[in-house]
Amino acid sequence: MTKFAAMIWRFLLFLLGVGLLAFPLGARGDDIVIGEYGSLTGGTATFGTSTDEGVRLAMDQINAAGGVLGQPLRVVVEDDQSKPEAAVTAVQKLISEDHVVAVIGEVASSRSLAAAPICQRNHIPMLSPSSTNPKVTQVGNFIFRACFIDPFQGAAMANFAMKNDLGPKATKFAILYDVKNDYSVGLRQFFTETVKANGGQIVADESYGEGDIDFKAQLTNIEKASPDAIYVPGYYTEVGLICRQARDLGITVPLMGGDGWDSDKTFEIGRDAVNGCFFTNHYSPDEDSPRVKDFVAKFQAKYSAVPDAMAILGYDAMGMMADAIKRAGSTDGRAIRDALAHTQNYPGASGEITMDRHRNAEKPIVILKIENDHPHFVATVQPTASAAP
Amino acid sequence: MQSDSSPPVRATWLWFVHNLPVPIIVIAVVLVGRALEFSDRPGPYVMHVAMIAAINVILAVSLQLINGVSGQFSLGHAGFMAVGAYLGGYATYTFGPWNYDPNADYPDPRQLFANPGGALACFVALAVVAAIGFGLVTALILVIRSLRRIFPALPLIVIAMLVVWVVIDARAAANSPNIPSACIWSRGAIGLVNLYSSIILHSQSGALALSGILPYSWRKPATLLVAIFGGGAAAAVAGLVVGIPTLRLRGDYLAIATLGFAEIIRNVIVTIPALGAATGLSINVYWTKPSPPDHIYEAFYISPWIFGTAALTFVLVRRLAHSPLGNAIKTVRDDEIAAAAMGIDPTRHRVIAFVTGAFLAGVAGALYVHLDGYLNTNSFSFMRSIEIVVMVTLGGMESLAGAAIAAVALTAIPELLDNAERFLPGALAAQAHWMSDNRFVIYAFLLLVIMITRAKLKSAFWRSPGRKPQSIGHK
Amino acid sequence: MQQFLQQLINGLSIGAIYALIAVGYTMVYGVLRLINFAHGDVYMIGAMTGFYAATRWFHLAQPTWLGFFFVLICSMLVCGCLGFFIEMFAYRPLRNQPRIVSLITAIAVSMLLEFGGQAKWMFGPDPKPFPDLIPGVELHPDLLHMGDVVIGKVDTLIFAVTIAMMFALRYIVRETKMGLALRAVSYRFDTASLMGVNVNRVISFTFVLGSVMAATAGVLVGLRSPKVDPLMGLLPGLKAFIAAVLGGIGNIGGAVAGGLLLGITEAMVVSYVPRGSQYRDGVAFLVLIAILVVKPSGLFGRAAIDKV
Repeated sequence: MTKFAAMIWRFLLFLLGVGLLAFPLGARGDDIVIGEYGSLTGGTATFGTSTDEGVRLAMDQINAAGGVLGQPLRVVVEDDQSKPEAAVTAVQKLISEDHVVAVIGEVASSRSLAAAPICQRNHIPMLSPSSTNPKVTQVGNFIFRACFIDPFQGAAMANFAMKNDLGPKATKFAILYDVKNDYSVGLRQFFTETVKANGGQIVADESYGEGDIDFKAQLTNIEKASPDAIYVPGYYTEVGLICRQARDLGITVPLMGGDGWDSDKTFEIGRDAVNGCFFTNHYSPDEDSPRVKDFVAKFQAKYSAVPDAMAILGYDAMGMMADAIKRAGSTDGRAIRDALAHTQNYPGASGEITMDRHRNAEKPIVILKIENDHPHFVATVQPTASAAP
Repeated sequence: MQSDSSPPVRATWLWFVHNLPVPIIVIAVVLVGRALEFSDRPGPYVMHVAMIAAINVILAVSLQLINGVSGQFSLGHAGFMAVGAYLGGYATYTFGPWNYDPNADYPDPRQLFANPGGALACFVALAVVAAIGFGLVTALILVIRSLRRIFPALPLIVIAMLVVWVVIDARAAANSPNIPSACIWSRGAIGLVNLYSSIILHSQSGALALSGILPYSWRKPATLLVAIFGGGAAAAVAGLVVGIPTLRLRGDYLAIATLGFAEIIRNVIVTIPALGAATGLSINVYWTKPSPPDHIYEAFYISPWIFGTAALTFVLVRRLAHSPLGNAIKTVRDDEIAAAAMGIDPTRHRVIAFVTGAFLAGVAGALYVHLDGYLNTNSFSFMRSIEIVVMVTLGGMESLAGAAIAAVALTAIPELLDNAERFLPGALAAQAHWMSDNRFVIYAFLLLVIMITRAKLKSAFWRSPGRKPQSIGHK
Repeated sequence: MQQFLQQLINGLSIGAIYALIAVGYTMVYGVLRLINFAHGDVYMIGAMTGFYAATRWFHLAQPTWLGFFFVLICSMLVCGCLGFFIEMFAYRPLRNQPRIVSLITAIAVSMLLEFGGQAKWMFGPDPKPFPDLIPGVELHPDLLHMGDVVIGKVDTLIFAVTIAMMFALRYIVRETKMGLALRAVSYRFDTASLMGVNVNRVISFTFVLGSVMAATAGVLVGLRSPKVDPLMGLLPGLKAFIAAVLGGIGNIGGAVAGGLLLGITEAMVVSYVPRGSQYRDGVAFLVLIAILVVKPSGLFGRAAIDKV
């Protein structure tokens, strides 16, 4: 075969490879399709699977009660493997191949940020169950979230730590944050602002990277600065280790964190070291609310496991979306968007949810203290108007 | 190619004939791409995957240039892509908009990319600052190296002292609000940043004038062109910075050094607030689907750019590989000493190949950022470099077309497997999903099998331990 | 001053782990001129094996010295076999191939271990809590208190084990016949085989030895930072390689020195450079590039294993 012919052959092969993808991939049915994208595999797989479990529980409940607008609800879930670029492809597939009317996702703010522009462009409403970075909803008016945002979370912990009697009543803080994680960086910023506004001091500001296993060098610096409490707004994968190594070095002050702490791994790895520590979260399993108890019971019946915060937020997000579609009366993207924007006092399992004008949910935060290797409810912080950016 | 032996009168005609396929192929690819995009089939999702595949083609072909044609094993390709992506995206996002009114009833996206002069000014300013910075560092290194003549261990001692001095300098600067005048290193660094800002500031009016010269509809393509070339050039500079110190390294050392550089680049990018730090860089993008029907303005599609560049890259690199320059590079790869004896400068040719590969990776990055509109340093990790290496290796270690095909295949097949349940019966679909989830294990296994069977096929003596391993550096 | 001492101790502790892994790299490189990319993942397998041995196989309710040794031996056995099989099936067929081929194969083995480990049917991507195996650590983790400086029991154990391994290795390389063969093969490959050395056996021995040390490092690191996951070997493996290069690749003593030096440098950078903890990983690579540019043969550089 001459070189030219070989080149033509390969060119055709290339086109074939592309054309192979032109399979009839989606089909419209007569049910209402909602898309969900999450990290079912990869480094943060537990986040995605928990959210999915909550979403499916809600879907079953809604369909058992007759569905939405007289039609059954169907959820199509796409895995983004914990990668932002895969999130873009996943959402693109949901919108153009599965013809979803709305999208639920994601947990990690970076992946929500990656996928949000596509939803905005195509006028499909997106509801993130647990992304807390403020930038997510700033992408456009079709992007919503069912949880509080980091400014509120960071401020709540700062205020609790400085003013609440049940807290450490600290004035000097050290921070150990994950420099590669936008969630951690954001929380650190807002925590610092509130501490300084209240007249406190940040005496040490150290960082680590996701996947590190040795923090003693940073903790030694922190110890030298003698803080009253240490703020560690990271993910559960490192938090347990940090607490243990802090105690090994002789640091006795309490450590505090955000909703990234919420996982069994924190207690499995941290064991005794995490007792006496605090963290902010979306709900507390021992909260004395009938809706929480109801949700926990149903979740345990279906999955034989105790739900974490991601599950309850997924459950509420799905419920909110179905409620919005009902109020919109149609599956038009713009109508659903308007209905979502006007969500008022929706009775979610994680609290009463009202959408504010920045499309963030106004919800209370709970502060949990870890005792005997389990988190226990300590305080609730109500949303205030000043917490919104 | 008989360009050298033909008489000069026919040379021009032959040159045209040999080079005509280039624009024809590129235009053909671009037109096919546009036609596909405008039609209902295959749809935005498939087009998106196809464009990712095209970007991977550029990456694979450029890595093949470095690995296969030039024989330098680089594990840091994702780092160059990151440089091109971040700088290209930053330039269009920060300097592209001109008179953009987001509150208009129908905001015109063309106004977001209306200032190619501004983007150009950004790159010029970066170039000036980089030249000064690198120039100073290179001078310092040369001085230190020359100290070796006085006393062999002197360079190490001087470097150690320098490091301590810089650290003390940085600490003093960090601890006081006003940087003391004795901290020359910190002042120098801040001075460079200020230089960049002032160049930008002073060139704004000139840039706008330059952009104004262009007709209105040319500005958007011009901005994208500046971003792509600028990103590529920045990556080429990075390639120079990486390539020159590692010139004397071979094989394994070079691989680790390139890996190290890519990690350092990532580490640095994640701490720069202007590039989005940990949150990532979000920029305005070119749309790949017609804008909502009730808006009148036209959108500009990125697919012609991506497909066209991929085709152009492939064809041009192929020509380069078969050209006299390419032959020289291959000779240096095969036998450096013989090449040097023939008058071919190994250093120069290695660097040319490396920098060209880095340039193309930067171009791929700049295209990628305008496709997805969001960048996160996690997307440019060591694993991404390995993915590209897998594409190059599975395509055949010396074949450019093979690398391109492998790039398309390794992008398309996982997506096909993910969608398996739509066109395969249930049990097979479950298997397909398992394969897609565990694709890296499968890649690794495939790689192992291919490497070992190649070896067994090539050499019949694998059982004999008496053969000395090819030990470059074992002098 | 207290802080400096404490950071020094932190650095030595991390450095000892790097040293244990680096020795494996340097030995294999001395003999085969191959960077065994999969070595970091052997370390991970060592840690994982230790976890499973302690929690699933032996059900150690209470930490005892006997239990610790059992787990260590188990881990060493598994990793030794793993190293042996990797060499036999992945590297031996490629001994006559260009170096790039071996390098890619090494990367493929590394990927296989990492992603295979992350698969749900293997270890799963979630981190696992490594149990306490040393009696007395849970309640009293500190060995010494010198003012504010704390020296932990586990850190002392790590350092002691590293020194002990060093001496054991020195004995093997200098006093035994196998060690002599090892030095011969690393000096001149084909001449050694002409002299009647069974090169295949020597190379297998090298791999097994290196893997055993990596397994030890894995178990020790599990005791120190009790979180093990399938990707834990990637970065420490790279850093250990950098340590080996720093000390002079092919030189066992150099590898240990390089590891300790790298660990101390990391701790010092985090402690004294403003915002240094952000650049902790980048420092290792900067050190690599600096040493490659200034003195590529390393601090104690010699290409053959003839000095410990």
